[in-house]
Amino acid sequence: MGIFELKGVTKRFKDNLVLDNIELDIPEGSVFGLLGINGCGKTTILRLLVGFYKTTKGQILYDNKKLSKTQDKLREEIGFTTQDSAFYPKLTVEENIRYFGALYGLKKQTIEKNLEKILKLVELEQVRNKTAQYLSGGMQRRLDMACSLIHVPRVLILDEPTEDLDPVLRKEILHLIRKIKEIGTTVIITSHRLEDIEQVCDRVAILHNKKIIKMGTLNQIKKQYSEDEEIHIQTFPGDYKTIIKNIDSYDEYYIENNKLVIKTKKAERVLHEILHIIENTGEKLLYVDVQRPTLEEVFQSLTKDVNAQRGFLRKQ
Amino acid sequence: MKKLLTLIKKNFKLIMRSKSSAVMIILGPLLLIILMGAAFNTASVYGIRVGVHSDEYSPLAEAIIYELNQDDYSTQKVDSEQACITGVKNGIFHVCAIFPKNLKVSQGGNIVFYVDNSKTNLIYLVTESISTHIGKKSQDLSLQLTKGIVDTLEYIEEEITDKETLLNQLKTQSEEGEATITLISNDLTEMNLLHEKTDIPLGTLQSQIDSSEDSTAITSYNAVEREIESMLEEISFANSKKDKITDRLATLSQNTETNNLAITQMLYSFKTIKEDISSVKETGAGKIVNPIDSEIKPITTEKTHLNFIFPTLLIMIMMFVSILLTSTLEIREKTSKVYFKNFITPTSETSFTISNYLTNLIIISLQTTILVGASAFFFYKEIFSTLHLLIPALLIIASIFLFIGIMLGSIFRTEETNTITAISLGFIMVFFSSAILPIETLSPIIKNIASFNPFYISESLLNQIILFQSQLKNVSSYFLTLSLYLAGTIIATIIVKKISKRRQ
Repeated sequence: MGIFELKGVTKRFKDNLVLDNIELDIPEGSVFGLLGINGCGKTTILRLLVGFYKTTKGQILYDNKKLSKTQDKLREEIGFTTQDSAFYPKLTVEENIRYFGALYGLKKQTIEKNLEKILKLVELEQVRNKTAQYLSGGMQRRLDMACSLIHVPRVLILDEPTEDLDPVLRKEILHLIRKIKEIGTTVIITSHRLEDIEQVCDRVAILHNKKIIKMGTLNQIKKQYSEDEEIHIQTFPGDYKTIIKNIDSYDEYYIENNKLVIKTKKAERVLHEILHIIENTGEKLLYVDVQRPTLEEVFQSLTKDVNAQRGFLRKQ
Repeated sequence: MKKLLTLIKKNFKLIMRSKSSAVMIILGPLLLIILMGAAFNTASVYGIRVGVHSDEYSPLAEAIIYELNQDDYSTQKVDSEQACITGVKNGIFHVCAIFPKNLKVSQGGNIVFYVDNSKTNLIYLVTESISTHIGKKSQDLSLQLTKGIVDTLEYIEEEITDKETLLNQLKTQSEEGEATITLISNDLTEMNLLHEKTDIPLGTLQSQIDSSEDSTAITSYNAVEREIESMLEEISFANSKKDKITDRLATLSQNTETNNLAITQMLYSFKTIKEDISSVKETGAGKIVNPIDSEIKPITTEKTHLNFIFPTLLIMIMMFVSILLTSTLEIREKTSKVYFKNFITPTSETSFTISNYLTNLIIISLQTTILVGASAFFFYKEIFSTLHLLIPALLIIASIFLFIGIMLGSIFRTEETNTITAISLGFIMVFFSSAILPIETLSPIIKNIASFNPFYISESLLNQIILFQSQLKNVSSYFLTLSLYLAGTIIATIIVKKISKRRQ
């Protein structure tokens, strides 16, 4: 039984259907990733979870109780970090954190005690008296998280936490998420950056076309696609059409960066065929590699529209 | 309560750390009162340009023009009436005055003014001021004429006084004459001139003389008898004359009596005329020219424009600052990145609304204190005596506008729309009050509606408190109405908040 359960949840804004019959179970203590392309409704789900939006249909359970009946408890136990850095830029780091501590109803001593721990956790001790607007992008994101963590929430929701950050800052944030997980907080993350989700999440749900199309642990999801392997090959001069024409056991292929990528359940046999063709056609082999699918690729496979955009061609 | 304090503290930190906001909150009202003080702390109208035209400028017309120039009016003679009117249309002149050809007091004539009615308030001031000046000039001229008349009357009075003495002498003499006539008449009446020959006892004498037969004696006696007869004839003649004289004296006496009566009547008339002239002299020419003195006195002791506009100014500042500040803060909070984060905390939205209200109430109180303090220091010392009514009044008024601001901020989603609506609403309230034109100038239906305008009610209340130092019993109805408004705006705010929340 998860900390959050969504049962047949539908959300409609006037005539616009955003979520359709969503079934979701978020286990306590996990880092739960909600995957989906931009605008697919991830943020709407999060806002439904905290009661900011009302469901059009279906129900949400928090701690096995209807959300409407446990709203006050939920608000005390939840922390939320939005896509934008949500704090007051003209207040200092400490003032922002203290402010949210007071809003969460913490006593002054508790705020002071938690403040030190949180500042250390988010590594903002050195800039505690700095006005928030003068912090770097990564610091601002960490301050936002700190504001959501001051009351040591049971659940922390992070909406696109690595969005708009450079690789170094992204790494910082992911590191912080892992640290938060260690203190026992349930973390719910939304992102369209699959590599980020892959790094920190235990469980994942993929949202596409207003529905949850896949849900489970990373391994469970990947396993469904484990029979597929990818052969990445680069030859000179690169007559990939002849190679494809002469092999049988592949599912899909695409050409990317002068490399031929072939998806197949029989990688060994296909590789053998390819090498034989190369030898016969006089192509010069420059690079060859066999890879298991990444979460990104699984996601791409599941979201057909995206696949089409990227140029995957199915075998006729 | 702790959360509320935290929210208010946060609001103030945000405002005070925005330097421009902090400066505007504290210096804004001071700057405003200084500017208003410099501009309106006077009772006069300055720099009024008057175009004048006459086909022939008489000395009187020139005198009126001179009078206007003496009192800060700038007059300019224009070649034609049409050019003068065009000057008003083009804004060269505020007023165009057309004097009749060769204007004279004896001939009379109207001075025609052309004014631009679009500048309503200015026109009221200017026409009133010019009319006063021309009225004053006319009065001076009338005074001179009347003074001449009074001088003539004075001369007549002196003459009458002089001739009155003679008339009195005449009356005395006439009365004495009448008395003499009466005496003479009496004397004449007493005179007995009715004598007959038989009344004289001559028979015995005649008998004796006859018996003596003395011829000499008889001759003498006969001569005496003749003499007696002659005397009797003369006495009889005198008697008839006496009767005639008596009759004439009676007529003379009657005439003298009539004359005396006439003289008495004349003297009485002289006396009445003298009294009348005397009363005219005592009244004075000024009183005759302007027999009824009228003086318009303000019902307050203050004299400058600023004193009178101060309550309106106070309400306008409170209204615009309250509505704009609260609605802007409400929208900023609603559209800020932190809004959602605030929402998911266990702090009710009511706390945020109350904190917004209290924050802005403190700001408005600060500004109002500065304004009232500055006014007390510079021109309104007696305002301190009204504080027991002024403070609750301002509190209620500010609260009404603050809740209107919260309502607007809850309804609209963008600052631009909110600002336009807030300013429009403010202007509607100002226009439908007595701030620009008296509410009495509106049509009856609109006037009745406008009388419920909270700005108008607030303005009336502050006028009563500040200008007239009214007591609570006199303004309790205003307090009651505004309290009902406050309750209404609070309820409306709650409803609007609920509806806007449902829209999410």
